[in-house]
Amino acid sequence: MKINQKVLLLEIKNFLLGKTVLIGATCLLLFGFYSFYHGNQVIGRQQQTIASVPSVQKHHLQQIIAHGTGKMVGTTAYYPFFYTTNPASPWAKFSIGQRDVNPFTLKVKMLAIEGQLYDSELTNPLTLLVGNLDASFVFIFLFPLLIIAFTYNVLSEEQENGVWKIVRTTSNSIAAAIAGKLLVRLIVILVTTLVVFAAAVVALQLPVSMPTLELLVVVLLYALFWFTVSALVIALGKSSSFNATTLVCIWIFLAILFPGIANIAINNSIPVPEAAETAIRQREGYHAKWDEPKKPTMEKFYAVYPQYRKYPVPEDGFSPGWYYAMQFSGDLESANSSERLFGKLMQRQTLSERIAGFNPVIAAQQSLNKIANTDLTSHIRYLQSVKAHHRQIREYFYPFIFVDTPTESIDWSGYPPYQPDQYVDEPVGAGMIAILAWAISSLVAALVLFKRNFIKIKDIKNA
Amino acid sequence: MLEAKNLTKRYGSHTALNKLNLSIQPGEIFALLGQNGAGKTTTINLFLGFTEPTEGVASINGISVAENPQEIKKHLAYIPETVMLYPNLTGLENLEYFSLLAGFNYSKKELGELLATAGLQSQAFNQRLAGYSKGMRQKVGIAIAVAKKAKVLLLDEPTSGLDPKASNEFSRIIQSLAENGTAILMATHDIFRAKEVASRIGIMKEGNLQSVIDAASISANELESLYLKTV
Repeated sequence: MKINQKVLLLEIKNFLLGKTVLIGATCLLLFGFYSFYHGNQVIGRQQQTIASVPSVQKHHLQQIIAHGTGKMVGTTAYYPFFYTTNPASPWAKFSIGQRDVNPFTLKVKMLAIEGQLYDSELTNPLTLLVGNLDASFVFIFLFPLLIIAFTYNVLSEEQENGVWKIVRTTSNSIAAAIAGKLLVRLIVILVTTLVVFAAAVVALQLPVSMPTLELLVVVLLYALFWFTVSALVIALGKSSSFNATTLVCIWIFLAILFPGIANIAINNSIPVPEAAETAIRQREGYHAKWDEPKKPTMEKFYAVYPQYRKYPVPEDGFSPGWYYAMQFSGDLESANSSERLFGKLMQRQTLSERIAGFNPVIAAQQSLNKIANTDLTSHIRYLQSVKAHHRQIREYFYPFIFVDTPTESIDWSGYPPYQPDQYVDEPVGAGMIAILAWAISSLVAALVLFKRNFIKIKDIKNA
Repeated sequence: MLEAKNLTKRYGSHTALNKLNLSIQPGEIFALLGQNGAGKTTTINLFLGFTEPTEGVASINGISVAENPQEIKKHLAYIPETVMLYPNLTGLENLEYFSLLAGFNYSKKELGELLATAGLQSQAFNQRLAGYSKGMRQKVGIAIAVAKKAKVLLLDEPTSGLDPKASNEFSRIIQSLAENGTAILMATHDIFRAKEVASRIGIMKEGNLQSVIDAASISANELESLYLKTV
């Protein structure tokens, strides 16, 4: 099967001069440009906030020190917040993922940590309902519609208007004629993908590096998948209206219904009662200590920090050391449920990745979020880093609290600085393989159907 | 040569074509007359390989269409009632496209000569087909058939809807193709056009070829009477 280059050029000209291409490509470019603007806006605002954190932290601590002068550290230490940030990766503008719903800055006190991890700003539910029209949305949800618009009538329209009979009787190789028509659409689809992606690289200032290349591979494989799905439907040899309806139904199922059903299934199969349980245990673990003897509380604290046993804690009155030991006990008592909570969140993530093997739309979205570090796993890493930083802060201030040091005598900015997580190159091979496998399966099925419905003699419609 | 032996096509219990026996020699124009549903288009579709015969054989130059659907395409060309080509390409580009599909790589000059042979005005060569009249598209269809150097031409009501001048032009070109040795099978409703261009005329009814007449031996009026009596 050999496809003549001149035939391809004429096919391209005929296709590109059609109104569908012009309207489809224009709409996609407009959405594309808006998505770049949206990505820059959302992540830009987050980055501005993150950039302001050091000065806010400095000013905040100065106020705390001024307010606490003349008091002991144990009293003053109740008040300060210590800021942490989850900086966006350069690719977050491309795929915002969960960064719009999960907090990207968390300020924590030296009190029990668990309750503080889940504090976040209120989000407008209408904004959440609409979602983000970022570049990943354009590639994941809108590109398939463009591919459908470019391909649904590739052979059926010619059958319907009678050109196909002349093509069939003229062509030396009907397989080559079909391949040529499909190849032209594939070339236009891939070129459009590359153009929009290149525009995204420029507009979103994505670094020319491996993650950007991975993004490109995912969107190209994804475009290939939808092209093969279109080819499969075309190969059924039905009418243009049947093809369009079927392809849009497939899009609705894969892009909307399936993910919704999968989300419900995951939530039901892995319930997370630990989320509430952790907060309750931590609060009860701390509050109950007010009415309990101090010794058991302190013993739990000493088991972890034996170096503070030498400092006296009065049994019959309040002391800062005992107060922070109570807070720590709350975390200790909720530690198991907290661990289970994070474990279950990871289980949900693992299950959703398995489910993605059955749906290239989910696989592609997950891959883009992983590359952009905007997925659930990235957020869990951030929460863990906040926990670690909380421990660093406690351990920095404990000596001053137990020694009963005056507020003005210590360096309040001497605690270990928060170190945001570095970019993590999460593996996306499984997602890519899933998309490729579905693309190959669709292609093979399409080839079989093309042979049966177009290559062999059959009763041709309208013949 | 174009030949049908006991050629039959049934769709369920309906017999669209019943045991057609027919032979058309090079240089001969055979016109099939008949009402809608008489089996004319089914006959052409069986020769084109658009549908498989239930019984019998359709062959072109001794090659069975059903057994060698790809091979017979080299020998035949087809012009439907309405030639629908690619509206975004010019007449010249359409001819080039279909010539290339058939394996012929003509120069622009040769393509222009083919269109001129088919009677298309030179100023229309580089106009997009979307602006062509039906007659102009039929001429591009003829040019495609000529470009293919096909020895067998199948026409399915090719003058339907053409104005008398365009229809006359079309007939003249068809006759010149036959004079050059092309065997032509033409399905038509137009009794007078059939009488004018065909060497032999077959009248079909309900899938059966009722009679075959030598066109030279009958007047147009006699043919019309016979046709009306038959159908």
